[in-house]
Amino acid sequence: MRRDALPPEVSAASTTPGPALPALLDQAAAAILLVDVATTEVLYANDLAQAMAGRAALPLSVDRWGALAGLTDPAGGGLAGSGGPLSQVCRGLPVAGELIRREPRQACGGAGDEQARQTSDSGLHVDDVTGPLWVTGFPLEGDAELNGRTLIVFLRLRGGAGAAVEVGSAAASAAVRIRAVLAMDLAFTIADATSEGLPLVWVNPAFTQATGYAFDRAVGRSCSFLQGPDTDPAAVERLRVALRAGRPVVETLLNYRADGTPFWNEVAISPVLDSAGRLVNFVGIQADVTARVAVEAELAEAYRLERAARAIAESAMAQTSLLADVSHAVTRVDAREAMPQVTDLLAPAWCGWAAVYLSADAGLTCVAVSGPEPTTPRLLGHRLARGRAPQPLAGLLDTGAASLVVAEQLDPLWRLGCDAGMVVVPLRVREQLLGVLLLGSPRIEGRGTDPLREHLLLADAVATRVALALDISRLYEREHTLAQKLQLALLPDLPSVSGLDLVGHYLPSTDAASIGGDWYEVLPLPDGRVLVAIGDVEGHDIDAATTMGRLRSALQSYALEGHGPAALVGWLEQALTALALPRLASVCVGLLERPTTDAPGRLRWSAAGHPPSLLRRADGRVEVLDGAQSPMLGARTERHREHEAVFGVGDLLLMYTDGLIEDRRRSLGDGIALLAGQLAVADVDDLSTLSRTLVAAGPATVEDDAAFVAVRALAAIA
Amino acid sequence: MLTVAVTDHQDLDTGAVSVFFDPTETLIVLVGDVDRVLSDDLEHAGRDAIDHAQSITIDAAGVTFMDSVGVAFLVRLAAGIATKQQVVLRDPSLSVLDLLQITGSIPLFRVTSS
Repeated sequence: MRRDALPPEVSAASTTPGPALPALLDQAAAAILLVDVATTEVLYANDLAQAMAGRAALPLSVDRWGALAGLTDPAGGGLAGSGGPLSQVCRGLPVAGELIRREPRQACGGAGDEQARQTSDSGLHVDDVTGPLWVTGFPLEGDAELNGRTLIVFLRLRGGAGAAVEVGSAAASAAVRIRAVLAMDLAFTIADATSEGLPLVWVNPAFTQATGYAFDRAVGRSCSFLQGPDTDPAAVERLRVALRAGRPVVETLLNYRADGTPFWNEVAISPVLDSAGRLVNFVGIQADVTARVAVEAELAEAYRLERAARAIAESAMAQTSLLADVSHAVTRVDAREAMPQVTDLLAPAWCGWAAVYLSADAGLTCVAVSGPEPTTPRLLGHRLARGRAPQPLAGLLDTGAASLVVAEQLDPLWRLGCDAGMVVVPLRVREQLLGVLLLGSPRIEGRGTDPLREHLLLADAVATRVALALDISRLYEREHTLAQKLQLALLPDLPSVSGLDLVGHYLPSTDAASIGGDWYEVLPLPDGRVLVAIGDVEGHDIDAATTMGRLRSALQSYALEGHGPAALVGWLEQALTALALPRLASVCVGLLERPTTDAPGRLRWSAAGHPPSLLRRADGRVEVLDGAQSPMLGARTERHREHEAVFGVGDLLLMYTDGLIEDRRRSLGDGIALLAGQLAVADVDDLSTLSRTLVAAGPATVEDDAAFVAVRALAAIA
Repeated sequence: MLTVAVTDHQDLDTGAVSVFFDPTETLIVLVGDVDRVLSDDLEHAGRDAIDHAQSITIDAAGVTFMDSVGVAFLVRLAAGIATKQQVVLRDPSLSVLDLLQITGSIPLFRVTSS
């Protein structure tokens, strides 16, 4: 197109408006009559006009035609014989945009409803041409054949007002003025349909005004003379085909005025037939819609921008949703288990395939791959030795940001399904590489202004969430391991004590998060007695573990000074207060005098809030040592009691914490009875077997941690 | 009467602890399973009751299960209030009494039945 020849408003529309654009002229609503002024008979009518009047045979008086078509004045009164627009036109007077009404249901009574409802050639149902219509009439002059005739055009102008506005209202009268002006501005032409080239035989003054061609310069020429260099040949061809077929047609095409300036011309052409149905004329109605085309081009642009904005918003929503899904997937104790879910979320929605490698043993191992066969490489289990990853991957892992690698640079390993390259996203936290996320053939087309950057930012956001979750899992695991190590470190390696068989066992809770405060102690004292104790500090955290450690140290010190069990429990009570330890604790302290060749052994014990120890006699009987019990440490009990029992060769003492018998389906008392029953029938010759038996018989899932210590007198000492 | 509902009572699958402050007495009502699930609520309730520094009555009639966490809560209450006062334990079930007996906690309470 020669854009330099176009005024700015025309340049704004880069193409001819397509058929989707609304037309100013509702082609099908243009009913056209040619009337003989002398006889006031309708000589010719276009198809719609004939349909409106029930296809009554021509010629026909205008009044009769009007009655058959159901035309009335705006108030609903009859048009015939009045001073209304039709009479005016028939007297040879011009009429510009007069308002009339059409009520087809009251019309064409003789013709029958079936006929009245017929559809015109243009495809418009005649019932659609109802309500207000605009009638325009031109006495025709200048051509011998046309002299003494008048052109009447009924228009239903676009905009909805014609149907919606009730005549008589203030809004309606404003609309009337606008329509009238519009109607006067419409350019009308009549072409001779019987002559070669369809020469114009008449144009109205508005045509001259619009095109710059005076009547004399226009009449006699083919109507194609308005076309110019940038007129769309396809639109011209559509016009020509329709005219050759005698069909009404509407086109908007770029035309040129006499001075060479272009304008967008909306042309509606109707074939007009005589009484015998012969094609005699084409009546053209034209409107300069340049301004509208410009507006529509702006609208189209605004629509495009709106769609783009919507696409961006939808894309943002999809991205937010992806991030939320990823966050949700990785929120678990061990985030490593969520990696297959993460790759499933990414492929195939955001890329051809997705894979996650995690750091392990000085390398990276692929732990998850998602993507459709056969364009997804089989990477699961693949290892990359640290520092020896192929370039450019190795370099990218050091940079810490998502990057796109083009297919040609990729190791053949990953090239499958990577026609559009691969996005490499290191999973890093605090300068530490935890793994890498790979996105094969990322879908980065068509979102936002910089799709690649946006995609990389999204990949980084996903990676950040995954890396943080992995890091939390790692720290969590480390803390748990640390807590267990601390716990085990605080528990004694049981000493070897002559004449005694010893076993101690600690069971951490099933819930990996919690740390227990359970402990036990076996300590041979200088005077030959053996301290055997167990305890449970309230709570499940590092504080519980450290409180336990301090209580144990205090107990060891006091025991070495030679105190008895009740005194030791009393000292522990005071220690808890003195050390300002805010925890309650239960404890059971036993002092064992081993059986000698001269005397049987003896156990003295004292407890505070602790489940009673069990004493299994050599013959299998089990005694519950439920005496000498005082409230838990921390209750500030001032006096503690102690009891004693004989402890002979073959006897076994079992101390435990309540975690070993915890079961919400039964009371603590029932749990103790059950444990006593198990102990009575257990094999006690090998204490490691007993230990396994007790663990196996304990609760399947340990909500609390648990500990036990067992001491058996093997033989009398000298 | 000032009421502090510490636990959401609609969730009786677990247990619940409620604290009611009268001008002369603090009433603590325990219902359902009083165990480690209730740890935080119990700690909260215990602190409130002790801070109020007046005699405490515990209504344990609705307790279905209690573990060492529940015992620790009761013992803490008993240890927390003035030494001359005793915590009243109202209508404890046999299993609660059993538990307190086994853990040597009974001397800390005055057990009553209504």
